[in-house]
Amino acid sequence: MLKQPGLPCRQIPVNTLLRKNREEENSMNVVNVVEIDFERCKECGYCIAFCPKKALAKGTALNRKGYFPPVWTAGECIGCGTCGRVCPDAAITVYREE
Amino acid sequence: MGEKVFMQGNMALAESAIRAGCKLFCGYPITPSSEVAEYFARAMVERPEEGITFIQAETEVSAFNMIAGGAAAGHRVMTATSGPGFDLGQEAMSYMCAGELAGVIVDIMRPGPGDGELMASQGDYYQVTRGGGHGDYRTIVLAPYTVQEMCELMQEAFVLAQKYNNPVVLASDGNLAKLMESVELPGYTEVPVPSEQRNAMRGCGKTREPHKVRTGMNGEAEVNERNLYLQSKFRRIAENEARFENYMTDDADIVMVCWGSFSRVCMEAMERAREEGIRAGLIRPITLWPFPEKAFEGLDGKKFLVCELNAGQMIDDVKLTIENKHDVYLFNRYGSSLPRPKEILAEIRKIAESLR
Amino acid sequence: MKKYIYKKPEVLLDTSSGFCGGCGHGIVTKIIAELIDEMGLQENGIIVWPIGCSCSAHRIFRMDQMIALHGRAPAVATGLKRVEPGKFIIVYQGDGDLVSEGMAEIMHASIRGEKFSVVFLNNAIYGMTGGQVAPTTLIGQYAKTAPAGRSPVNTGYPIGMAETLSHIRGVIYSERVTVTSPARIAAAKKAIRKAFELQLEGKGLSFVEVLSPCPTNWGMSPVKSLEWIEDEMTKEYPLGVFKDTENEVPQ
Repeated sequence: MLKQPGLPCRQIPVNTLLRKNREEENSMNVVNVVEIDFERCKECGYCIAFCPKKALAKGTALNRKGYFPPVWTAGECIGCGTCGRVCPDAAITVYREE
Repeated sequence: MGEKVFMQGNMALAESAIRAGCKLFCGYPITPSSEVAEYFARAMVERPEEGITFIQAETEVSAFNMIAGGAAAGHRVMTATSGPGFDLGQEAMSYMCAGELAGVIVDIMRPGPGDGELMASQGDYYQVTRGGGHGDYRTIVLAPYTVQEMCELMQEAFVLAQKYNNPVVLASDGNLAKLMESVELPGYTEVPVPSEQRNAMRGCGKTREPHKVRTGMNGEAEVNERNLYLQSKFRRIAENEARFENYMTDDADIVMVCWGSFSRVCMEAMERAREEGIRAGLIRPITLWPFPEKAFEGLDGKKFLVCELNAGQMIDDVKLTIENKHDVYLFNRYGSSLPRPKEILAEIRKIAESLR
Repeated sequence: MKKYIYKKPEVLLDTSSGFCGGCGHGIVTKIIAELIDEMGLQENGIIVWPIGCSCSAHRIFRMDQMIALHGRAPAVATGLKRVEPGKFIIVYQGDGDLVSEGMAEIMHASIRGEKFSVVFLNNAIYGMTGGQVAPTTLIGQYAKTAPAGRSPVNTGYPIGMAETLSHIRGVIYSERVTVTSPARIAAAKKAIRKAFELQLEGKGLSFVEVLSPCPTNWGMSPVKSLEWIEDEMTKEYPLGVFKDTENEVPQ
């Protein structure tokens, strides 16, 4: 059983969680969104390192601080929120659009 | 006014502070100030209705920083120490001025430098008036000469500290601390509500603008802005809070300048001089900072005899005030016991001789 | 309809922090911000910052805050908490502030059992002043004032504050955590939440030491610095609960 810290506490087995997500996605058009605050990022790399689905990668666009914020691939993302939680600059917002 | 009692200086000081609503005393035992701490410690236990917190801190460094915290919450707070302890509090003096915190500090002077001795002294005059901490700051320094005046000035200290959001020092000495005198204790005063104090640390919630105590500065612009602001505050204090008392100065040829309990010895010398036909007078600064320049108005051409229990510190301020180095004499001793009036009288006679 | 999985805590302003990329202060201050939101601490909360890299965080919090002199945060917090026991005081300190300059202050606040929570960031170096040796620097670790690596002959051995303070009766909770992975971050938040809950219950002193990355002064990339904590720092500073008075964890 995987208890996701920071989320409302409902103990759900992992495999049913993922299946439910896909079912939800198929039936209700749930879309996971990761928004990165481009100017806030300092390119520490934690979000990229800890994303379980490798949905984040180093970007090629430079922000005003002189860093390359990451780019996010929607397809792989499961909306776990890990990137948001590890970012030291609170530069990442994660939400589900239902 | 309250009841008439026969009380030790330190204890009367503590009682007056309690009646002014001092809620936090943090200090470290050091002679000759320890009775103040002990009095507060007893009050915390025996008079719970006063709501007093007494903390014996691990060092004066800590004690002074504790009262900075208490002052930040909007409460009336104080510490009492002597020279060696006041040394340790200097970083906090600079901090409290920079952070606009209304701490009240009692320095009960004893001979130095170093560990020194335990009784009367005025050796911290430079330190209290110039400030022993770094940077440009000033604190009001109140200098009582009797236990009675000390009680009144103790209560004034809290009012002034909160009026200007600036620390206030009350300068006492080992003599005034320990002697027992007849005193009419002041009554309980009104105490401002802590949560209504400017910039008080209370928790801002979602609606109030956050309050911050921050003494660091970023860049030259902020250095200038902060310092100009503080300097304008000190100017206001200098214009409004200087206090003094003059005794028979109008027709005097020789004017003594002295403060604190030692000035009482000088007053005796002045009276004896008058009996001998010498026209002696006396200026007693009650605030050491701001130095009461007004006390010297209209006294051009007179001779000044500065009497102090140190190597000669206030004499600088006298010379600066009258803009004259030549007509200023020094009678000084290094402290511990007080000199006799006759010793000062001898000095007055010498000056009187030279005038003939 | 948006359902948020993660967003910036409300008590944090839009201002960007002054921390370096990957700095542990960023993670820990964010954890504290999340807890302030979740536990409703903005109403009565006051943060007492040290002198160190972390004090720049005053710019990002919408809270009443005080930056104390170097080492003096526990003393300032003592004054605040004693006159206003109902207020919630967070004391935040780094190596130089807590272990060096402020050793007397934290020891005596602990001895007196002051009822506030202390979050101590251990990054084994002095950050703000540019990387000098700290009492927590590891043996052999490079620092600007130990250029041949910290040597016990000159500078003694590293000190574990979570262990040291756990021996003081006034400390009711002492735990060491780190922030090197999402799971570790979650555990760190749990520990700090515990420390905050103990203060809300009127108990104290609660202490959480966080092994924290300083990529800039360690001369490593942020991700490498997390590895260095797991590989090297935890050897010297084991993670775990050193004191839990309520649950009688033996010291």
